[in-house]
Amino acid sequence: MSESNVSDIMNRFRAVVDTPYEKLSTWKEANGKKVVACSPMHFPEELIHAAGMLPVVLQETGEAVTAGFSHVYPFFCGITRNIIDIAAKGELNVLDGVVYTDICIQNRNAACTLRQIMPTVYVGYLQLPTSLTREGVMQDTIRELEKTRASLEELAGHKIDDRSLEQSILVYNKNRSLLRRLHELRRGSPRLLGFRDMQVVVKSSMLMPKEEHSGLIESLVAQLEKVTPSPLEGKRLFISGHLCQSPKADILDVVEGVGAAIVDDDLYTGYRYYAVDVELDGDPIECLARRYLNKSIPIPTRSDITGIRWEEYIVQRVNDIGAHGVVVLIAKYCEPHIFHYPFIKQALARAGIPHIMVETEHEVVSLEAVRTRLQAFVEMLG
Amino acid sequence: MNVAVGVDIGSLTAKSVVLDSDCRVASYKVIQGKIVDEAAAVASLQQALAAARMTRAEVGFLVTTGYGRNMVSFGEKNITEISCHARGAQFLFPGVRTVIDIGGQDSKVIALNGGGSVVNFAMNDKCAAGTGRFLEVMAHALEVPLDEMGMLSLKSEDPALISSICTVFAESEVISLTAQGRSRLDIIAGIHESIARRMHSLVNQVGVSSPVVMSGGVAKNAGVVRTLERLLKTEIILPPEPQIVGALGAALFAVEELKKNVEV
Repeated sequence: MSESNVSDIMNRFRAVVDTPYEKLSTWKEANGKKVVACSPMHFPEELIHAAGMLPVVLQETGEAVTAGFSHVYPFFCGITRNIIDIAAKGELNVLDGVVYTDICIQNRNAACTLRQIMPTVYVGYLQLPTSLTREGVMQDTIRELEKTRASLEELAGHKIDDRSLEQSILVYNKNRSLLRRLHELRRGSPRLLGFRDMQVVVKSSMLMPKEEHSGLIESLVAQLEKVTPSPLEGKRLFISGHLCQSPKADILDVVEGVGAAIVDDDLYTGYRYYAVDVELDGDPIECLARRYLNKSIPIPTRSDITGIRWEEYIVQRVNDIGAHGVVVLIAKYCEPHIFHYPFIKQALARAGIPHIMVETEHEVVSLEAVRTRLQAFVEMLG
Repeated sequence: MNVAVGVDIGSLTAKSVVLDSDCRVASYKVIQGKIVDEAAAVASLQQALAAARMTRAEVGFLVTTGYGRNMVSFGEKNITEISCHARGAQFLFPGVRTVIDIGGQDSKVIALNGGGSVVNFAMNDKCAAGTGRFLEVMAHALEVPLDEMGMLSLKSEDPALISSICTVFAESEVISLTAQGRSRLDIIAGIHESIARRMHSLVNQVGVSSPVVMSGGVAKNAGVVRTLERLLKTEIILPPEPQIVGALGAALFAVEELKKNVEV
């Protein structure tokens, strides 16, 4: 394997992920295009891409919250406090627009707050339905997507035609399929790419042009496919959680540093981001709507009454990969996740799957306490 | 003859236990300190070896545990205090099902199955309330020697309610109660009730099955033990030296490693 190639590619990704908003400023100057950020998790970035603008997904930075406390309560989740904080400091003024979707009450509040503290930046709001099974939900979703399309057209200064949208969907589907290929390589040989690095790969996809990212992933996959998989020693763990924000890399390093390997996950900045493609078999707006309503992985920001529940999905995934246990990462103050955790706990207990729940915070936490708990959990697995 | 050693590097004490290959305790040493660093850990190790008339060269395997297990430069393996306290308690009291450990700054509850393996555990998270530190702060606020707090608490018939969860706010509450003229015995009893309530919540996260063993420095406090027994409605068994249970467990793991090396 050409180590330098993999290393070079990973350095390209890391360069995008470190200080993302500064990098976007540089990118805008060089490319003369608009940049529109969307909140995680459900916004169809393809719409922004089809408008000829660069879609990025808002990322939590490592900055301590200071100015933001004038605008947001301390009991809001880390990413909400952080985004509002850096917006208050002017660091999001590089963006031409920010569009939010309804995933939780904190996200809704963030959209309103950003409108107040970033008056020069367009802040949009896409109300995707949260109850998925009521009558008329498809028509409502299409209507809201069309409203958002119209807003983005105004921001871009031109129409977003269906052909462009179809092309963008194909670009995004390609990127997702490449990320799935990388995911499968890791499932077969987790030491091929540390989980921290896999997070960098996914997050960089959220921050750079998909075409460029796909080219780099193709090279990365080609390099990694040449590596002979080595047998995995130690415990195999499944990481679940962090509904919309990336876990801090230090926590992931601790998990992999106590004699375990993260073999699979359902993080937003992980498998959930690329698991499901848009099935392009008709009107593109309707295809985007269908992906949201029917095809996404179960997650408690919507009311998925029919179909598999999230905790059952986790159990299935854990059994599929043969993991020894689960690490559930809950971002502090993440209400949808906290409310759902008891069901996850019960389901894992019923299935006889050991798990440990680790609460994570935006602020620096005592890693030693987390390390002790995670190491004890791995020791307990035998 | 090679010996096995376990060193438990905690926040306030460093403990070493020396075992022979038949798992007989040859010696142990507890070093107290304001700051527990490598020097304190080495001192406990050297003094324990000296008491056993052994040298470092005769140590066949050394396991470190505790908060500082990764901090020290010696030791062949490190194992968490959860596994080590369970192992040590199970050795002393075969059949133990719950271990409650309250140390200087942390507390933990460990559930074992019938085979003596750890099946669940809970630790205090980000807060030292209910630990040895809590008792220290309160003893200082009341100007009572720390080692007298437990027995004094048992003399009260009307414990004061300390409602604050946080050590810092609880100290303010204690000062306030003192100023109001509340009896010192009642305040001390209230402090012990507060610790026991905190531990009761932690125990409930894991569930309690008898027999229950308590380890750690706070196990020497009769007030905490009796109050916890009342809340849990179960007898709590105390080792003769509760502070060394973790180091003992680490030494037992070291014996296993010694035996593996001999078989190889």
